[in-house]
Amino acid sequence: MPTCPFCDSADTVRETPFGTSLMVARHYCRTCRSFFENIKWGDREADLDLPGFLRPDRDDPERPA
Amino acid sequence: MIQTVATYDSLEGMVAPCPEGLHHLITACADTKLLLGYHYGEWTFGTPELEAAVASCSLSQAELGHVRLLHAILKKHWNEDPEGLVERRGSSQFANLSFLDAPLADWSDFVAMNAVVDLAITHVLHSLRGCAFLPVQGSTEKMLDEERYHAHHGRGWFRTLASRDGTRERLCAATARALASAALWYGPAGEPEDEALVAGGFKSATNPDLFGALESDIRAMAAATDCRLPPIPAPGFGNWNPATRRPAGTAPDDEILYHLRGTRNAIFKLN
Repeated sequence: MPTCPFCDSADTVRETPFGTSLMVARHYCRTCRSFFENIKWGDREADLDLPGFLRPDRDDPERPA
Repeated sequence: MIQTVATYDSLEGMVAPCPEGLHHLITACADTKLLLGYHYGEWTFGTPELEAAVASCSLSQAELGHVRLLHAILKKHWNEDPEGLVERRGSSQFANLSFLDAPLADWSDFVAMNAVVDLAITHVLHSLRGCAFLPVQGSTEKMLDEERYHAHHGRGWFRTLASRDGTRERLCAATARALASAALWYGPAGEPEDEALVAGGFKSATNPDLFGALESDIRAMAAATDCRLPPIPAPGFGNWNPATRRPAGTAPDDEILYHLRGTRNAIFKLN
């Protein structure tokens, strides 16, 4: 889970997989009780529920450099 | 895996029927994404959860963005008019996956569209990542990055509906219809344009192989739930046409095209 952008706490939970746009998820900080959005692109992809051919960590010789 | 023999910045030097095959395939993907965008947009309201409405609106925006990307390729290399593709073609010329021809009856249809139809096009895009036609190769990764979230959303709702006694049966029926529609859209084994595209390094898998992969994904997802999908009947491929990928006599609903097009607002156009 991402750390809170307001208080840096790591005690956060994901509220919903989509926020105000497709690229963000909505999170809640249990420490400062703030909601925040997090851009999902990149390192969060490993958390996605995907069929095998779309998993970013798959050994994939076809993926262009 | 694509064995690229040569790469192309334009259609020059490409051997027939590859230019026509690419033209048909890109048009079919763009048409399906256009109808996906319409249906996703329509479900900005009426969803079972407010969060699903926000997601559906976002999914629609992504699909329409992909349409613009694909139409730009069609314009530059095949001299297609993007406005004409949307506004002025006859309905029977649309090469979208036929599950999208009619209004979606309920949320189970929506979830089948998201989990099956959207993923069907994503399988095609995935097979184009190493495409010998570089403008296509260059556009696929962006679309695939976004499609990961579409797949994630569809699978989440699939598992939710499949876990409930009141919704499981309708979901399974809608999923089976979506799969049957996808089988027909992909086309028959040995189709000349498809074979040429694979042999020429434009695609990494034939259309029947892509359907097999799609069906395998969907059945694996369903098998982890109590959703029991029936066997998908063999499609009737008689007179299957790669330009339209649909049975003769079928077309998107006129009412859908009326709302999708800007025809009735033509006098308000800015240029």
